[in-house]
Amino acid sequence: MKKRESAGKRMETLTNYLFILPLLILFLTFFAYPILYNFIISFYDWNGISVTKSFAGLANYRTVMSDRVMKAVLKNFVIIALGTTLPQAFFGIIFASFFRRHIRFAGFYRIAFYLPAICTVTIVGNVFSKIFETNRGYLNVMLRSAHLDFLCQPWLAAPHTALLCILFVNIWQWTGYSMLMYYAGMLNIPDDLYEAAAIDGAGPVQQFRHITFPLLRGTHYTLVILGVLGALKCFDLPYVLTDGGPAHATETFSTYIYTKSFNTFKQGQASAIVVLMFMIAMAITVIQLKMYYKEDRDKELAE
Amino acid sequence: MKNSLLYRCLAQLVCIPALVVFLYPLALMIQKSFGVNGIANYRLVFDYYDLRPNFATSLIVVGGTLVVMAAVVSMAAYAFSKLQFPFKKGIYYLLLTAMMIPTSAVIFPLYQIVRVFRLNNTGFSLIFPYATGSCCFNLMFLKNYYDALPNELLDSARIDGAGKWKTFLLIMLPIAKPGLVFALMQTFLSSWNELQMGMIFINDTSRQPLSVVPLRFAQTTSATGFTVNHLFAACIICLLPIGIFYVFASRYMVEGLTQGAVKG
Amino acid sequence: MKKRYVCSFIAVSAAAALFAGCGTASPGTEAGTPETTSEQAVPEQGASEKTVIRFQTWNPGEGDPAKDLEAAFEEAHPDIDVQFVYMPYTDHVEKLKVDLAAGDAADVYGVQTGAMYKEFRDFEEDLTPYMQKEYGEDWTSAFNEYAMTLLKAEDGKYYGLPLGLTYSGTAWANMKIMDKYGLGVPASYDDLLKASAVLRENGEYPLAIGAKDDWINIDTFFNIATDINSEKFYAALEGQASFTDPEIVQALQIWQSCFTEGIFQDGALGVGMYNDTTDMYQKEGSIPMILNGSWACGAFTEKDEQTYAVYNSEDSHHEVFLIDWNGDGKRAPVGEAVDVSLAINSQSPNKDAAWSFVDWMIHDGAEILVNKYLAYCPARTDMKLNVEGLSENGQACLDYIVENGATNVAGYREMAYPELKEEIQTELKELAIGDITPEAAAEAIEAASRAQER
Repeated sequence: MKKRESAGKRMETLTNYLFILPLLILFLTFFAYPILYNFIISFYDWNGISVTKSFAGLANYRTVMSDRVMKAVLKNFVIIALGTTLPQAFFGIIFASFFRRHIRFAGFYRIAFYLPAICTVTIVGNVFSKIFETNRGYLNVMLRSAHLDFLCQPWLAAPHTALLCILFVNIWQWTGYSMLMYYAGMLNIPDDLYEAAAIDGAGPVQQFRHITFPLLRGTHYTLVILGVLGALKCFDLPYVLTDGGPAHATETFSTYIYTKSFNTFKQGQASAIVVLMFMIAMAITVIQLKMYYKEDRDKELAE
Repeated sequence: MKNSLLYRCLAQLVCIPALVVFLYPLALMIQKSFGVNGIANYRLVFDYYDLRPNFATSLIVVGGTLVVMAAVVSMAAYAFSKLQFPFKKGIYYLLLTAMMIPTSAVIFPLYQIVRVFRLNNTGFSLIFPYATGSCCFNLMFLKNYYDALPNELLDSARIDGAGKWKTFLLIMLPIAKPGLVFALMQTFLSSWNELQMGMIFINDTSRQPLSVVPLRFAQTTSATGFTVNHLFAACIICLLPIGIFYVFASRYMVEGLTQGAVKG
Repeated sequence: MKKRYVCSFIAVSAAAALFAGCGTASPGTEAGTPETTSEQAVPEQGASEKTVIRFQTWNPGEGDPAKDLEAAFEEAHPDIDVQFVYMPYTDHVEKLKVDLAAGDAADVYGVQTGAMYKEFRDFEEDLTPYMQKEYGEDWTSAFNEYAMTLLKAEDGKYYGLPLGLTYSGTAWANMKIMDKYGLGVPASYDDLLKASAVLRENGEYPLAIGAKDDWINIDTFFNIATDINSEKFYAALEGQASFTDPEIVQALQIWQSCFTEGIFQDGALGVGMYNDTTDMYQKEGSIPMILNGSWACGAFTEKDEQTYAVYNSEDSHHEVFLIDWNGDGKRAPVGEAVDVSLAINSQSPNKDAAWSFVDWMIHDGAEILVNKYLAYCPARTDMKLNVEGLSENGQACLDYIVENGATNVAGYREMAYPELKEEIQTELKELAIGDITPEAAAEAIEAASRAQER
C-alpha cells in the first residue's frame, strides 16, 4: 500500500483537485473578478457612472477610516454578530433537543418555527414596521391594553430600541435555521449513546451537557461563522425597517455601502468599505477555523 | 428514551409561547393581504399581470441552480473534508469569505461577466451566480457533515478496493443525503426569494423571476391605484409556492434525515 | 491504478453531463425569446418592423397611468413599441449604472434634478438641438422659467426635459377631523402648537410626518429655513454663507422643537411617508394633518374605494396650507422641483425614436399625467390645467398650490451636493432624537459644506 502511494502520490493529489474543480471554475468566473474589481476601484475617485475616473491612491481608505459613521457601523457589526448568533443558537439547540426527544407535536413545531425563514425581508419588514409603530403599532397597543404602559417605547424611532428591533426580527426569522442545523446534527448522534447514559442514571440535562452539546461542535462553528458573516452582510432588514437610522443607529456595512454608491455617488469609497469588509471577514474566518482545526488535531493525537 | 412528565410539560411551556411569537407576524401578513377588499386584492394582482412567465422563470432558475449547486458542492465538500491537496485551507477560506460580499457590491462587475458570456436576459445569468453563492454558503455546512462521518467508512471502502470516485458516489454521497437535502432546501428558498440580480440581469419585466413582482406594487409615489394590501397580496402570491413546497417537503426531508442517520 | 482513472473520468464526465444537461434542458423556453429585447436584435428585424425602445423610470409609477401612457403613445406612433420599465428609485439608479456601463441601458430614462442629473451627465444626450429644430430658438419660453434654470447645465445646454413640476413644503389637513375639535387651519407655529395639544388630548395624531424618509425632513427643514430667510439659506447651500448664521440656527431650532414640543407625532422617526403615514391620511382618513408636497393633490382623483371615500364623500373637506414658522405674519414659500425630467441615453441606437417618445411625453403624455391623474403641476406654460373629475374642494387646493407656485417659490427642492445633503439629513435626525443642540448641528453642517466640492 505504501509503495503505491509514493508512486502515484502526485497524480493522486492532482486528481483530488478534480473534486473541487467545478466549484473553482464557478468561483473564478463569477466571484473572483467582482472581488478584484472592488479592490481596484477602491483606489479611484469615481462616481460610479462617468466614463473617466481619477486615481486617488489611499485617499478613499483614509476618508472611510476617519468617518464617524464607520465607527457606528463597526459597533453595530459586533452587536449584531453577538446579539443574533448566540440567541439563535441558544433557542435553536433547545428546540432541536426537544424534537430529538420526540416531544408531542414535534413535527408541527418544527415546520412552524422554520416558516419565518422562507419569507422575503420586504414583507417581513413591512409587517414588523406595523408592529413596532409607536402610536398605533400592535406591540404598544397590546402593552397598553395589558396596562403595561411603562413598557411602551418609540421602538423604531429611538436609536437603542431600533437596534434591538433589528436584533429581534433577525432572531425571529433565523432561529428556525439554527434549529434545523442542530436537528440534522443531532440525528447523527446514535441513540445508544443516550441509552447508555440513561442506564448510568443521567437525566436529560446531563445527557445534553455530556453527549449532545460536545458532539455538535461542527454545527456550533458553522453557525457562528455563518452568523458573523451574516452580520457583516446584514442589509435587507435595516434597509427596509429603519433605513440604517435613526441617525445611523442601525447602519451596517452593507447599508452604508449602498448609501455611498447610490445616494452620494462615491463608488471609490464604497469599494474601499467592501475591501475592508472582505479583510475583516477573512480574518474572522481564519481565526475561527484555526481554532476548530487545532482542537481537531489534538483530538486525533489523543486517540 | 422516555421523557419524564416534568420534561414534557416544560418543553410544551417553552414551545407554545414560541409558536405564538413565530406565527403571529405571519398571521398578520395574511390578514393584511386580505385587508379592505378581501380576495379582490389577489384578483387585482392576477388581473394586472400575467404571472405565468414570471413563475416559469422562477422555476427554471431555481431548478437550474439546484442542479448545479448539488453537483458542485457535494463533490467539493467531500474533497475538503476527506481528501488532501495543496493549498486546501487557503482555498477554503477564500471560498467561505466570498459569500459575505453584499450583492450591491458585486452586481456591477458581475453583470459585465454575464454579458461577456452573453447570458444576460436569460435564466442562466441568474443560475450561475446563485449557484456559486449557495455553494460557498453550503460548503461549510456540508463539509462538517462529511467530517462527522467516521473515517472507518473510507478505510473499509479502500480495503474493498474502491477508488475515490467510487467511494464518493456509492458510499459518501448516500450517507450525506440528509445534509444535501437541507442544503438544497436552503438554496431553494434563497434563490426563489432573490430579487436584486433578477431585476437587473433580465430586462424584460414580464420574464423576471416572480420575486421581483411585488416591487411593482410597492407604491413609492402617488397616483398608482395600488394599496399596501395589494403589495402584501403580491408578496403572499410570491411566497405561497415555496410555503407549500416547504410544508410538504419537510416531511420527506425528515424522513431523509432519519434514514441517513448513522445508526450506532 | 488505471481503474481509478477510468473511474474518475466517468465521474467527471457524469458531472459535465449534468452541467450540460441543465444547459440544454433549462433554458428551452428562455433562450429564444429574450434576444428580441436586447439591442442587437433590433436592426436585424428590418425597416417594416417596429422600433423597440425602453423607457425606465421610478416615476410615474406602474399602474393605470403607465398603461394609459403606453397605449396612447403607441396609437400616436404605431411604428414605435415602447417598453415601460418601472423601478423604485434606488433600484432605478442601480440598474442604470450597471446597464450604462455595459452599453445596453434604457433608451429614455427618468432623472431627478440635483445630484442625479449632474452625475449621469456622460450618458445624457444634449436635447437642446432637438428642441431648437422642432420649436425654434425660443423654445424654452414655452416652459416654466424656474424649471428651465434647474435644468440648464453649466455649459448652457439642456440634458433633460420636464414632465411636470412639484412643490414641496405644503401641509394638508382633513377638516372633517379638525372641525370635530373646533380647530381651524393652523397658520403659524403657535397655531400648530395649540392644535397639537388639543388633538393629542383627544387621542388624535398631531401633525404627521414620516421622518424616517430623509426627503420629507429636507423638504420641511427647507420650508422652515426659507420662511426665515430664503436668500441667506440658499447662499449657504451654495457655499456663499455660513450655516452657523443665527437665522439658520433658528430654523434648526424650530425643526427640533417640532419634535420636542409635540407638534409631530410620537415616534415620527420610526415611520416612513409612503405608505406608512400617507395611507393613514389618504386611505384611512384617520389622522387630521400631514406634511406632504403638492403631488398629494393627486389623491383627489384616485379611484380606489378607500381614497375616494376620504376625499370625495359628501362631508369630506381638505385644506392645503403653508405654515408661518417664525411668526412674522408671512407664510413660508414653497420649494420647486422638476418631477421628473426625461433624458435620452446618449448611447441609444434609436435616438430618433427616443426623441419622438420624449417629445410626445412632455406634451401629450404630460397632458394625461397632469389632467387625468394630477401627478404633477404643468411644466409648460401653454398647458391648460383642467383636471378630469376634480371636486370643488380639490380644485380649491390645486388653485392654492398653483398660486404659490406662481408667486411664492423660494428656490430649488433638490440640491446638487450629495455629501452636504447627507450631512444635513443626519443632523436633522440627530436634532429630532435630541442628541445635539441646533448650534452643534449648524457647525457640523457648515464643516460638511466647506468640504463639499461645488
